[in-house]
Amino acid sequence: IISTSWINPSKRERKENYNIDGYYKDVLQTGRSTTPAQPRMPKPHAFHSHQLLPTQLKVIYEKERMWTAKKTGYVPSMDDVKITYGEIEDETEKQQKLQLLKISIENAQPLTEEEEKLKVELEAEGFSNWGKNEFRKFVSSSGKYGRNSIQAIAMDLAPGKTLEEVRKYAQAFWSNIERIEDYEKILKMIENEEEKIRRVKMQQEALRRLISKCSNPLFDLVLKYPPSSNNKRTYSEEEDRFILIMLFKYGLDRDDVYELIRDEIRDCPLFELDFYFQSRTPAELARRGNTLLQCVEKEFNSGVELNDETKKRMEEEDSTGKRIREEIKNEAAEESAKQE
Amino acid sequence: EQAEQEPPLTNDNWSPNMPLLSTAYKTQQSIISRLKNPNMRTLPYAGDIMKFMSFINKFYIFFDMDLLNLSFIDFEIGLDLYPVIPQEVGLDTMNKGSLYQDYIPVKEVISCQDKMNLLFLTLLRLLVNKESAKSREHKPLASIDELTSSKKLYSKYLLNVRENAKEWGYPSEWRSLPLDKIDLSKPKSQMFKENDKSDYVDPKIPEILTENIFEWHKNLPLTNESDPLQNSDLDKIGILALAPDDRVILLRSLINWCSSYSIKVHNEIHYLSHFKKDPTFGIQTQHVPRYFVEGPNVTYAKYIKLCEMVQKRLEVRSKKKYIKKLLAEGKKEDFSAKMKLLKELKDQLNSLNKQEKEKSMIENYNDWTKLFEGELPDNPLSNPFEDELYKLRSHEFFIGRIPHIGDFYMPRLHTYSDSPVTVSTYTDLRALEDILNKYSSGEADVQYLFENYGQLMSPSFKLLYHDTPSMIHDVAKGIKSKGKVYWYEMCSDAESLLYFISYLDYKITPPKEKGSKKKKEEGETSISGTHDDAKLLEEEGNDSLDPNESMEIEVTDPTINKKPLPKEYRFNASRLKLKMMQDFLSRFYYILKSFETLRVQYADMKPGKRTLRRVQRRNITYNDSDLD
Repeated sequence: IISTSWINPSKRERKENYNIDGYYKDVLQTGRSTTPAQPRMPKPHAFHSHQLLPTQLKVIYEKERMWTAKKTGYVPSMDDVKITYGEIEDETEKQQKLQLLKISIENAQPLTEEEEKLKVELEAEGFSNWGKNEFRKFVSSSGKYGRNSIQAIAMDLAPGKTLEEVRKYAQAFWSNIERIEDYEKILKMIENEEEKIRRVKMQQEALRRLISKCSNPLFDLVLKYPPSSNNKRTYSEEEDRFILIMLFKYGLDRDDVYELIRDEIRDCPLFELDFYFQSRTPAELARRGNTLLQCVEKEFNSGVELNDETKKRMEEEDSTGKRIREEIKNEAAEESAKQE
Repeated sequence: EQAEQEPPLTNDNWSPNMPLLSTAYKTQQSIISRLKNPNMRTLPYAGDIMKFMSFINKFYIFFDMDLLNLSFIDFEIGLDLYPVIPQEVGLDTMNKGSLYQDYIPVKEVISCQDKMNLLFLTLLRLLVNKESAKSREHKPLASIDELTSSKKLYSKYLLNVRENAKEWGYPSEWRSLPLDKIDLSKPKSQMFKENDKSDYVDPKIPEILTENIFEWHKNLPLTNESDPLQNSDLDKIGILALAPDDRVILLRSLINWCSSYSIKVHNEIHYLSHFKKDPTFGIQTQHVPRYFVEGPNVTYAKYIKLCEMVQKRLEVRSKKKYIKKLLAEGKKEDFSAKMKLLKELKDQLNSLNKQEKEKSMIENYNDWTKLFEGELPDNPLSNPFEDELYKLRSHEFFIGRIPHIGDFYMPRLHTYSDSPVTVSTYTDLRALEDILNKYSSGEADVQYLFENYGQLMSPSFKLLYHDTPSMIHDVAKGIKSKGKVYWYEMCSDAESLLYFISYLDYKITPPKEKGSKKKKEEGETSISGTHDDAKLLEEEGNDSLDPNESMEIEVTDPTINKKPLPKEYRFNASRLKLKMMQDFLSRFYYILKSFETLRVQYADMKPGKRTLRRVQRRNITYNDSDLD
């Protein structure tokens, strides 16, 4: 049996007649002397916004660059103008070029010691060890799990970054997000994803309360806002109730929940001969499930939100109450101490 | 002046079908032990065979004629399945006593086995077949002759099934994690020891959406060595390669997979579930013919009420000003024709008394239904199996629902067909009663069956009892139904049917009042149907005894429970429905008997024109005097 990973070996290379020159070519380095390399304009130092480096660094890097150019005695050309300043159409181009020249020539100084020190300090402030790919992963995981779920996000970035590294970066990221290129787009994306998680959580909660209201949900689960009546109804209400009960049983945050529901339908003797219900694929069940969950959500929308607010208020009231109690206790203790 | 309103027809169900609701048994417990009789058998596999038959019945367009007249017992013989005599009956279980091949001609056993393989092959082909048929004609995907055509007939189809089965979902019996040991709704493990409770990296949004990540149990199939689907003998000899239980599981899974993933079947189901109209009673999980639920009398009464309402509607409408005007102008021809017809019908009724009137309305059914056109799609007397609107969710084998007891089924195929069967019992109430009367009066006989393509229908039958109340309670409570049996056989041929019909008398007669016994009766009624009873049922599964009965089992014959149903008022409905079912069954007996005889006498003889003539001329007499 040939395994699929088998790769044909390359053809055997036949021996040619020895060519002495060829044989010693590398060893003796005979041949023409190398032409002196053309001095080149050093590229601008890569400066990724997501690494959250202080902007002062940009200035230092630029200084450094000019100095290197001067060292090699490089004469800047039009191309460098393009790289540094982007496309310019009109006559100012020449002036730009001149300026560039001037700057690089005037930049007689390499960085001073202070500047060198500053450079190291500033670089330590940023996250120059965060590559583009790691940043992308960080953004997508922040959406997938919610921005504060550091354990989960760190798990996705696992071998490259420790939990602490991720935490530090995340804190910096959220306090300096405006400094990041395209940050509106990135933020929007994370917020949208978070909204999805919140929505599932809310549906889960709404479903829990709906079902806990019924003593026998298979019979008496009633939707206050049933699915729209202008769509063709193909599921019976009993089947709808069964889907909701099963969604509650397995929870909404599992990606295989509809496969499990399909299996439940097959195993349930109530639907033994119900070919419509039995014929629904997980994808079709998911569509129905989402429709039903939206109805459940509608029913509890006001309720759930109100609850969150009241919860907060109650917590605040609790803590102030506690504080007041503590104060009273302390006062009482002081009183008794005084009396003694 | 207040104009008279037309009585509305929309708020009632006038269709020949009625939904069969689970909620009917919401507060009822079954009293299964009260049905004990010598012919009662437990059928652990009955639900599956019902499913096979139902599937072949509804989707007959994919199956060969050889499969369209299968009987319940053909599946038992073909797959080698045996009913179980319930233990509590007090007999030694002689289940493994005799095998089918001991008392059935080998030829017949093999023929049943071949049909099982034909079913197997058809289902396999349905799964592979990628083309969606445009026409909905009867086009079988496999025929019996093909079974001998090649050595590895099933191989290429099985290859496809084995590739996809995991994604399609394995049957619970063939999974590596047995359902009864593992709760799939509980996480297998969590990713982090502690839930994430750290400080918020973004204090503006103080919430941690994902505190932990869980891993769940996956439903994985058995290992290759022990997975019946990987059995290489399947390729060579088909479904018989597996153990009897596994044969049932595989066929059931194939039907499940077909209904979801066979393009042909899935499309057919889509077609049957997306009509422009809905039944008047909405979409219900299942429905059954009205005459089996309400009985013939109520069904006729409902029809007569409908006739009166439609009459009223037409008369009110004819008095409306604008209609009068249109009629005078000679427009609205159909309406004026209706009014003319109505006048004729009313003239006929004028001289009759109430009973005669009703009889006439039923006799003139065809005229009356002309008046219904445009008013409503069908009526209580139309054929419940005719309109495809009802096909998908119809329980064709249903014959009765008894409160506090459960449902009764008589699985026989060929409900829907494109063949010239004129003796089908799957028809409207009037035609059904007509056929039943023909047979009970002796006007029609076996030969009549033969001439009218009776062989296309299932020749033998079984009467099954389904313990619906227990099943519904288990489902509602979320109790795993695995290993529980809700299906029982009550009779398996015409002879045992007669016994069952007479046995029903014990249940239908109300209990006699006896001074000494009365106390006991009261004690009993207070217990049956209460929670204690329910608990007992749960603890001991379905084979538990009524607590009272265990104390006073008839010493004479432990296999039969002759006790009447409890005296309580709420069992009156049960007695009534049992009586109705008994009436139906006693009329059904004659035609079922003829079907059995047909199988014996004519076997698989194909009724051609010439043989037909000869058979008629031969005039077979089976009198004893002929036997010298």
